[in-house]
Parts: sequence; C-alpha cells; structure tokens
Amino acid sequence: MSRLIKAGALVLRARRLGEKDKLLTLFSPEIGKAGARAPGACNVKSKLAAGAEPFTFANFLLYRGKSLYTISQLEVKKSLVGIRGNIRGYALGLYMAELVEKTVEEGEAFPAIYRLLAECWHLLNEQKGDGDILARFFELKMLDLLGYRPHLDNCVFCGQAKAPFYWNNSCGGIFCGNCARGRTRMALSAGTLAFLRSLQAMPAGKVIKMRAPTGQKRELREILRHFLGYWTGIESFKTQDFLRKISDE
Amino acid sequence: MIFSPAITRLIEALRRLPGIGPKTAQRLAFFVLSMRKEDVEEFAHALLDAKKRVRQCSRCFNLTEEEVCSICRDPRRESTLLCVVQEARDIYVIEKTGQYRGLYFVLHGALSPLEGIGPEELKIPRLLQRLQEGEIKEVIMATNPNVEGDATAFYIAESARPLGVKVMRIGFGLPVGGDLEYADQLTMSRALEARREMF
Ligand SMILES: [Zn+2]
Ligand SMILES: [Zn+2]
Repeated sequence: MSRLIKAGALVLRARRLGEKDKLLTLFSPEIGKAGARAPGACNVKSKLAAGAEPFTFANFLLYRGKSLYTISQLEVKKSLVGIRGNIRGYALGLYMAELVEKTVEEGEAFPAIYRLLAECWHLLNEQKGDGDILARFFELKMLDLLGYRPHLDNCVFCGQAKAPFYWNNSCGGIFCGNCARGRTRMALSAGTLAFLRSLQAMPAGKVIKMRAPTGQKRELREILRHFLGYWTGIESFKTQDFLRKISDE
Repeated sequence: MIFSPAITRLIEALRRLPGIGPKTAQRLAFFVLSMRKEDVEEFAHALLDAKKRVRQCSRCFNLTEEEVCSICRDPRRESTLLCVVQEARDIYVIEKTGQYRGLYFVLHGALSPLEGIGPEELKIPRLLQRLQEGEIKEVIMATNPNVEGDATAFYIAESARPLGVKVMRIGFGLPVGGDLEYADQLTMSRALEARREMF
C-alpha cells in the first residue's frame, strides 16, 4: 500500500506541537478520524497555516507514518470564517467537534457523521437560526448515528402513546405513568417532548426556523447533556465549560 | 537504560519545557553534565534570577522588572492608542516595525473553547476595565491571525462596543493562520497598515 494518500477532510482541532508545528485532528469521510502533523503551520508564511485550523475543509496529501500522518500538501476548499465573528457560535461549533472527537474511534470512516457536522458548521457559519437549538439537533442526530437514539414516540415499556410521559437517562426513552412506578424519573412537559420529537425528525436546514424560550432551551440542554453522558460515558466537555463561562444566563 | 535519580530528575525537569521530547531531554541533560561547573551555576542562576525579577506590568501585563514597564512609562507614547496582543513576545514583533507609537495590552493567551480557557482566565476583564477609564480612544486588536485570535478579537470588540471605543483589526488579507510571533518585519508592517475597523 502506498504511504502517500489523498483525502478530503475537515479539521476538528489544531494544537501546537513543538516549535512551529501543529497537530491536527482530521475528520474525513474516507479515512475517518486521524491525527496529522502539519510541519511549520504556526508560521504565518507557511503554505499549511491557513488550512491547519478548525472549521476548514481541505484536500490533504498525507504521508502515513507509524502513529500519525504528516501533511505534505493541502488545498483549502472552504474556510468557515463567519463562525469566528460570534463567540457563542464559535464555541458551539467546537463543541460539535469535541463531541465527534470523543465518540468516533480513530480510523473509523463515518460519512454520515461527517455530513452532519459539515452541515451544522455551515449553518453556524451563516449565523442563521439559534445556535443552541442547532447544538441540540446535533446531539440528537449524533445519538441516532451512534446507535443511542432516544425513543420518543410512545412508552418504551408498554407502547402506549398517551401523555403525560416521564424520562430518565437509563431507560433510553420516554415512559408512561403506569410504567413509571418504582423508577427514578423526571416529568417531561408536553412542549419539551414535542420539541425533541420535531428536532429528531427534521433535516438540518429546517432547524434554523426553530425557536424556544430560554427556560425550555435550558431544559433541553440538561436533558440531552445527561442522556448523552449516560450513553456515551463522556463525563465532561471542555467546550461546555467554556460555554458556561461566556453565558449570561 | 536506567539513569541515576539525579539524572532522571534533570531529564524530567527539561521535559517540562515546550517542544522538548524524551530524546531531546536526555541529550540536553547529558550536555549539561558535560558543561563546566561554573557555566552550569551561571545557567541555574540566570533561571532563578529571571524568575525572581521578572513580573507583569501592572498597567499592560507586559513582562518587566519594574512595577510599570518602560513602554507604559514612556511619555512620548501615544496614550490614547492601545494595541492588544496575545503574548508579551508579540510586542517585540510589532516594536521592530518602528511604526507603532501607542501603548500595549497583553492578554496572556486567546479564548479557547477546546482548552476551556474563557475571558476570566485571560486579562480580558482588566482590559475592559482599562477601556472604561476613558483615556483610550482606539484599540488595535493584534491577536494571532488565526481562528482563536480572530474569535478573541471579535469577542473583545463586541464587549467594547457599548464603551464607544474604536476597535481596529490588523489586516492580513485572506485567512492566513499561524502565530504573530513568526511574522517578519515586512509582513507585520503591512498588517498594521492594513488595519480596519471591526464593526
Ligand atoms: Zn408504559
Ligand atoms: Zn506596561
């Protein structure tokens, strides 16, 4: 097998490595998640510098090493520079990247997740719609793609479809009053459930039309944060800490 | 290979330096051991002395041995103009152009969601406080021309908007990426000249 490969990828993360290099986490529909060294990319004059940044889509020429790729050339296809103009959108975009980075195994191709992230990043770049709602949409779709889709249609235990419904992280979905006996549970308001259902069913392009009051957005965020934590085993996200720091809630 | 405890300690200490891997740390440690005793003493003394004397300027957070750095104390500098940089070393890149006559402010980093570094971990609250004092009329955001530097500049510009200060961004034209510390004199001069109002 040739040690030189071509791949289209987006950059999830860029860290400084040594004196002038950068260590990138690439995510490609062909080769999946991969670590790649971008030699000299800290230098403003480097040909790699402009592409060695998050929110970049590029074609890479990669040299396969023992544990890392080394970038030999890159051609930037698109830089989502609009994201930088809004700190919240910027942090949400990186939260999506962190979620992908933490849930996808190295070298595992996952084109559907790639498309989802690309789509959501483009929407953040255009600064359309509510970024927080887009992040909830992203979480729901990620759960779906990772095989942890929360069951929201009817009671997970008996199948009945009449409200009110309850929720806990470990049951994998909503459950009815009868099945709630003896279980830890929280009540799920009809409005929040309807919101989750519509997010789960809609394509990314429609999410920008969705709006919700601050209280409901907080509820949605907490529900999904705990659910995601339970099923993926990821306890914390640096980007969520950051979002809390810049929040004026 | 097993090293003596003292050598291991030296290697470990060297490894804490940025860009030093285990191999380089070993090489450096053996080099130190081959040096003359007086030179090693001078080396250790220089480390301790610099650490003891150098601190952050109380006005701009540049590195200095004084309470207030020489730039902040210089009466010939334009006191209504403030250039915001990520690191103290970036000041030298801009000073070398000889084009800038205002004051500086060092953030000591950039906003970084993936590292969890928010405004409070940087000097951003102190900067906004400084702008509130009213003497500064124009701010030049000279954070790195990359994603983090841009996002930090936009965040500060947005926060400073209600204060009525004019906020400019150095211009590199297209997104370039990279760190300011590696910009040569000509590139830096051009970027300063090409500065534009952010809003
Ligand atoms: Zn039931
Ligand atoms: Zn000073």
